[in-house]
Amino acid sequence: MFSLDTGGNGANGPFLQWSARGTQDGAINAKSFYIRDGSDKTAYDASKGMVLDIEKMKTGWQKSEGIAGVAPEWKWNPSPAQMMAQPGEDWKKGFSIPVATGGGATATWEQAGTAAWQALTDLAPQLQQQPAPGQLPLVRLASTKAMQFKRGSTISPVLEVIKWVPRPDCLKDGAAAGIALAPAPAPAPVAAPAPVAPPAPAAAAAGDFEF
Amino acid sequence: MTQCSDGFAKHNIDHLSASSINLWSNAPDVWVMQYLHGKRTPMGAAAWRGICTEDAVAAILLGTPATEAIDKAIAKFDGRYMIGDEATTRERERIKPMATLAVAELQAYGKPDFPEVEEGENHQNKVEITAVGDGWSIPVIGYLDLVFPEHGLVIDLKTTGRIPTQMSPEHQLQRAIYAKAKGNLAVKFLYVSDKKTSLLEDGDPSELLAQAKVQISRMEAFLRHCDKDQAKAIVPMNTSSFYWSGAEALRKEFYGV
Repeated sequence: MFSLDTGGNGANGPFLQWSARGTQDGAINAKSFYIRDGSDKTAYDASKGMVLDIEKMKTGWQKSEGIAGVAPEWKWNPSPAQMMAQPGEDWKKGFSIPVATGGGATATWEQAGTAAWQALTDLAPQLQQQPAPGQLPLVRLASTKAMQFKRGSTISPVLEVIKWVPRPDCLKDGAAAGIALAPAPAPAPVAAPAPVAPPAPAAAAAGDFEF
Repeated sequence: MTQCSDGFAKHNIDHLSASSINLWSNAPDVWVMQYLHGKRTPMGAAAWRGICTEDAVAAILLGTPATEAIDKAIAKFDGRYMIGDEATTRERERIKPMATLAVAELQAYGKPDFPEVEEGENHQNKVEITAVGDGWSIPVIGYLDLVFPEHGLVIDLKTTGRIPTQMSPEHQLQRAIYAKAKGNLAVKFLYVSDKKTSLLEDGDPSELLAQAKVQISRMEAFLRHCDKDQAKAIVPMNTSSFYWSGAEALRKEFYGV
């Protein structure tokens, strides 16, 4: 179970964002991640791997007025395992996750909407394999997934866990800025989890009832 | 060791269970995928809530403080549904009231009896009966949730969103297997919602097992006449069956529809 501090609403920038369609100003291509720092937008190659701090992950509901420069409003869940009722029609599911983006840099992936939420929930079965507290997933953008709805469509990033790594210094509380994250190794295919064998039958006397 | 023969042996099926027989009867397409091709449908949040609640109830009856047992059960639930949605959260929130109500109902029976097992092994009491047909036989096994020998009673815990007035045919078969295997004990099913409980013991075990044997015989004949790929190709399909709920992608991958 992941507990979290629900206090405070503001995450620390810069912010990692997924763009299904590309940004309106043309700075960012469709189907890609980028880092937004103030008004600056920089493309981010997530195929090389990034470390997600799932122990400080928050999920909740976001309401955005869609006005540039106005921060969206968030209502955080008590824990990621608990989803509150939707506060209203205009609220979308979302999350906030500190991310080590490489070279000692960090960003917060804080995003709501179907594409990002789908990416996180699709990744969840792999995240649940956390081998021990303090071990964080190094994930990469493996592909994208087109999603069609009755009205509209979107494209979700498909992420995969490459390996589990100790918490990098840049994701430790109070770490000095600029502590280098160990270079991400070349992405390797993730071995499929071994099928779970059925429990071995407990020793029992053979049944003597026949029908 | 009981010898399997013909259809069962052909497919290396060495035992059946109530859930296997029920699945064969209700959704043979799902059964073929699961039991012949080894592709399991995912366990839903309600089923996982049931397992976690049963853990808490057993632990409390054995002396673990209720708060500790329930917290552990919720942590187990969260381990599978780390990122909750509205449906999983609803099931998560039922664990505590369901466990509390079940314990209140069962406390009068004292401590249940569990076999001594190694860490990680199934701690439930295993029961087994044997279905015997024309040239074949197959064990039918089950695991008892709670056995109270001093009261001559077996209780199977069923957590549910809505308490039934009568046990479903599927649960009746499960009870019949337990009752025949534990002929000297009464077998009752305790249904627990987050608001109330009900203790039921419906169905005549002999009649139910006679009906089950017809299904098992047909299963054996089906298995005898085809290999697993033929079974996949010819088994009737019901894409609207609730057994496919939550496994639509798997069905598409396996059956193409």
